[in-house]
Amino acid sequence: MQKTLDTLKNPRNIILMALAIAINIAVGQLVTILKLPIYLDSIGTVLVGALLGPVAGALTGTLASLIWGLLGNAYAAPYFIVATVIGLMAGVFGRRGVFRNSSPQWVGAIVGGLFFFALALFVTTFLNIGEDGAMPAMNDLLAQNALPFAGAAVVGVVLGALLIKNGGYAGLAGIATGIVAAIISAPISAYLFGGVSGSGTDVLVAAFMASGQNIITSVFAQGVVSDPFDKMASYMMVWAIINVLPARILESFSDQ
Amino acid sequence: MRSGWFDNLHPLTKLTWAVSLAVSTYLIDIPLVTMVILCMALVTPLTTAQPAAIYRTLQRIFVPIALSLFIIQGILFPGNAVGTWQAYGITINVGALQIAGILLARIMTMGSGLLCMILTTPPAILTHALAERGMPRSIEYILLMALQIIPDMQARAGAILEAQQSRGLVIRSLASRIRALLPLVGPLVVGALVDIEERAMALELRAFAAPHPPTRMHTLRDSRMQHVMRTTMLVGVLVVIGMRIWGGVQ
Repeated sequence: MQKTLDTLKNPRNIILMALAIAINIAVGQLVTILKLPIYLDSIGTVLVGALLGPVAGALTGTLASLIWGLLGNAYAAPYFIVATVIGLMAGVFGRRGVFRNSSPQWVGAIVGGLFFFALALFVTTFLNIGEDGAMPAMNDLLAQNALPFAGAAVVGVVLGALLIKNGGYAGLAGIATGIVAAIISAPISAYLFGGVSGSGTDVLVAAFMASGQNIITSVFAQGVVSDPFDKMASYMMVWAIINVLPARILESFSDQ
Repeated sequence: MRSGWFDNLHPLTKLTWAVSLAVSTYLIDIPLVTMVILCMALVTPLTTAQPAAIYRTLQRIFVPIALSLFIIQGILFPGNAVGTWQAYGITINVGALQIAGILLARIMTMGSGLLCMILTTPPAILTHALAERGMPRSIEYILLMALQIIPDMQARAGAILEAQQSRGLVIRSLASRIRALLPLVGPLVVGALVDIEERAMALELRAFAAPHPPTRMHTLRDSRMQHVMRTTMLVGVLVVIGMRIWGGVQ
């Protein structure tokens, strides 16, 4: 607790948190201009977690949601819990050195391969759940779709080696954060908004609904498909930035 | 500019009103009550100085949400249908559509209440009111500073984009747009981190660490009447929560 108060007393930390919130919004806008299918609107929160630790990261996430609310986006506010957890997890991973250490390139390739394979398995399993809610048998699924699964894994390995490069640890931590974010946001989205956000991701929810699932499962599925990508990209961006920062700047933040 | 009745309320009164509307609409499962609460929420903008602006914002937010809800809940909803209605080859689930209607009413209630509060209260006044109730000053500072820096940061992001494009950055295919991300985000974040030193010095020079409370440009007007209103609303919310938990209202 004392450490939390000390973090909040240091003007440099306070300014970093305020800047991080503005970075979230500015990068969110850049991504919209680039027309990329991700948000990256928690990159500042992840940065604070990485530099100042879990409590500061969680606080930044909470305040960033509040700011979205104050800017007129009243529907962002209930998701503050998700943003808080993202900041918290980034802080925990930061303390474990995820953003400082480079991984060998093969770790990136394996992370990419496993991720794509898991994603393909998840979507296929989801689309094959029976009317009575029975899960399909894994062996059958893998045997029937061997080629698509192998293809997904190969694409993942190639993309992992090319894009994740030496940020394998950060990429893996980002994927884990994305899955947790999807798990927490699904009930909020389903209960408060009926699974609807009025944005492009509604198409995914609609697709899962059309396969015969209920709202909460469909919203969760949509989250699991889009969130890990987003958080992995955010984590790796922060990893890349931290690795080019001069040591003088890095050492000036109090968690380190 | 004309000033409305709602605009002049104490920020915490407005906040309590918005929160009470949102909590009651989600916790009371009686359609008639949901509609009454929606009416109360939709009448609120009329008591502000600029109802037209608030209604326009509401409309901008709700039309896409209503459309998505109609498609996702009305057409794609699985399970037993209370009744179906067919037109132009599309089967619409009437029971699910009723649920969607209630959901839309709730989303609109929450949105209308919060928007009235947000659009009639400058952030500095809201944080001032919260700081008076014990919110740490550093949090007040983070919120206000973030709000002030956002336009600056957006302009900087635009400038970086133009600078990189003038150096030959191409944004066309998906691959080129992904590759463009780091050269755009990197300078934005690094530039912000480099600025911290200067801003921290400015903050310390303005006695941020001084132990006594800061003097304010504005004093907040509160009244006994508003105090009673806030207490009544809070008690009401607690009653609704209690009834929900102990099984009165379902």
